Amino acid sequence: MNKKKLWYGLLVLLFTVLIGWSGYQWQKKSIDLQQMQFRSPMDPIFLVPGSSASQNRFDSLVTLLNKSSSKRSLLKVTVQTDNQLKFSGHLKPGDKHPLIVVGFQNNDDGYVNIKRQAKWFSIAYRELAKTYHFNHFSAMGHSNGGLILTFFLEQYLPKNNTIDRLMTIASPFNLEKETTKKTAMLKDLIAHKSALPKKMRIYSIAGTENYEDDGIVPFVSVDSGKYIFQKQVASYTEIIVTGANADHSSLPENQQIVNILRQYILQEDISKSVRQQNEQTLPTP
Amino acid sequence: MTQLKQNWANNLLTFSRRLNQHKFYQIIITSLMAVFPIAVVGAFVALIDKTIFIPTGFFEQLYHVSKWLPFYLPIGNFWASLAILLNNLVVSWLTFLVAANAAKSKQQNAWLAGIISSTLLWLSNQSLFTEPIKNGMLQLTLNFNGLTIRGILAAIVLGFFVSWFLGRYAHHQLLAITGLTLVAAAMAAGYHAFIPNSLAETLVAWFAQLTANWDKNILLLLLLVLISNLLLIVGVPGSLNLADGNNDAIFSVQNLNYALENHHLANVPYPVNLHAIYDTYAFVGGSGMMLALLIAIVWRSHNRRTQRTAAISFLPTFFNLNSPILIGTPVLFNPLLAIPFVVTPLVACLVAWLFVSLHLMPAAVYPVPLTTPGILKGFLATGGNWVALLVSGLNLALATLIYLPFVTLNDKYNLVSKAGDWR
Repeated sequence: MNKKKLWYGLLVLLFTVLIGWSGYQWQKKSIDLQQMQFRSPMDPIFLVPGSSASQNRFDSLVTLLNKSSSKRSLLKVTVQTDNQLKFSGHLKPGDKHPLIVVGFQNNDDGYVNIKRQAKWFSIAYRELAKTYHFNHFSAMGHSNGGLILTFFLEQYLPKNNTIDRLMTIASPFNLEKETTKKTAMLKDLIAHKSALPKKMRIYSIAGTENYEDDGIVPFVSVDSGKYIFQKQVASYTEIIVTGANADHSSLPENQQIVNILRQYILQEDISKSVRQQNEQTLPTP
Repeated sequence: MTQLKQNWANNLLTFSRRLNQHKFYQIIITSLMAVFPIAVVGAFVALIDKTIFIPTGFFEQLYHVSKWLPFYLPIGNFWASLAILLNNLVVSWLTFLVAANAAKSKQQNAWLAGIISSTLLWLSNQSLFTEPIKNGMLQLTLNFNGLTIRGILAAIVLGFFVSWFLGRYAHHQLLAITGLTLVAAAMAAGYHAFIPNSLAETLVAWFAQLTANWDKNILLLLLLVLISNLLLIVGVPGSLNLADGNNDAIFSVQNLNYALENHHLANVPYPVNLHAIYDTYAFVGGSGMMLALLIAIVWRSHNRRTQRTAAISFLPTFFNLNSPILIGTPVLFNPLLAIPFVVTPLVACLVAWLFVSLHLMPAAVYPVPLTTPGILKGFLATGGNWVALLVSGLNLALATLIYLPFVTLNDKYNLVSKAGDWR
């Protein structure tokens, strides 16, 4: 009798261990899924300058942005070549959508350096995400900044983190080549495109001074972004801006672009006239 | 010390003996025992329904049964309906038996009292009057959706009342029956449920509202647990037991959000709340740590009938469906088991609280399926924390030790030997 009880006891124990183990597997997956679906209340907007520009590159843009809307706090981060972070400015407590500029001590141009900068960006990102508890964000990259962000999204985006909206301003996805022949960098970006978050929305802006380029970046290079993003993400919109301030380095302060930034990236409640103006610029929303 | 213990045991036995001299008490126990078979069948059907065929079922969550089992939906509907119907039959049978036994003891017409009583219970079902009649047929949607059987006390009160009423107006029985029927129907249409049932549940709801903010304080939390389980002993599922392990939804969500945001469980905003403490660590085998009683019985009881009851009830109890063991042992209305029934959850809560307060284990934050075996709840709700598993085991062991002497007492004075057998 007692032996029988013992056997039953063992059987129950075995059963418990078995479902305990598969329960553990299930719970791990379930927590992962919940973490993926969880969206932090805070989602900052990262601003990444292009080559030869410092963390102060967007100061006048931020002034422009803060003139018309609620003041966003601004944090500037510089990633040193030894992976150390240097901070200036600060985040106001309770600011759920602050602006964070990430610049690099080594801000040289070139394919190899852009990849290095993407790695540096990921160091800054991880540190900031840990400190400020966010798991999703939006971003704007000017020139090479857009490339850095794209490399980051493809190769360094931490698990359960995602980007909602990305705006690239005159980002040369095919470097400064006035050709449709794909450079090694573009091929690299295309090779990893499946790692891009499927739900992100992209606005790629090209400036034109003449029929070919914005003075530095040729239109065909900006246009090459389609090889990376088309049919990869939720939406990919190309916008061409012409007229005053349409040269490469003035683009971030171009009023049209500022308006587009406000409506689509910052998702501000902008005035009707600006909205209409934006919608004229955009071929398809 | 042993002297004191002996005194206590003797007092308890004397009390039980006194109670058992009352006719009404014998009737309650006999009737409860008699519905055990249907309660077991109902519990097994409910077990299948609640582990596999509801979205929050344990096996459905773990193995995604709905994805690979053909005809999942129709089969699920079948089990759900069957579970509802059978578990309502438990209450229907109970009121029949109480009324019939009461009438029999007064040499009145037992069958009539039984039939009328269960008819009234059936009539008092709200849905018959509130749901529209479709295609000339009554749509029977019964109200049973939890792990606990409701309406035990209501069924007993109704049974006694009907037998008394029919005895009182023995010379005008047809008139009395007509009157009762009409009153029951009118009440059902008006109040949506049989009075003692709705009254008890209204009180419980009011109490839950009153105590909504109590549970962050461990002493008030213990008081809530105590009251809830005391109520269950007399057949009224208290607010905690009605929630089916989903107490404190708001705190749980805030804890969960914090955990998801920060990727760890330290410093969650509400480490002490009913869900994290009571539902997770003091609900092993349902209210009253019934799995511990079951182990104590299998281990030390010498009564064949009690042993069989425990063995049969094992599987549902393992998944926290404890109605068979509550009814079959019986635990309900049994003064010999009432003390451990209310004490063990308190001890379990205290142990869990101690471990959480001393930061020896994280708070139970991640949601677990409704029918997760009680012993695994802490482990899974902390995302696989071994200390949490240890605490669950410790609680079960402590509860078993607390139950042991009472099981021996229960053996010594077997209520059921006086009340008849079900085999």
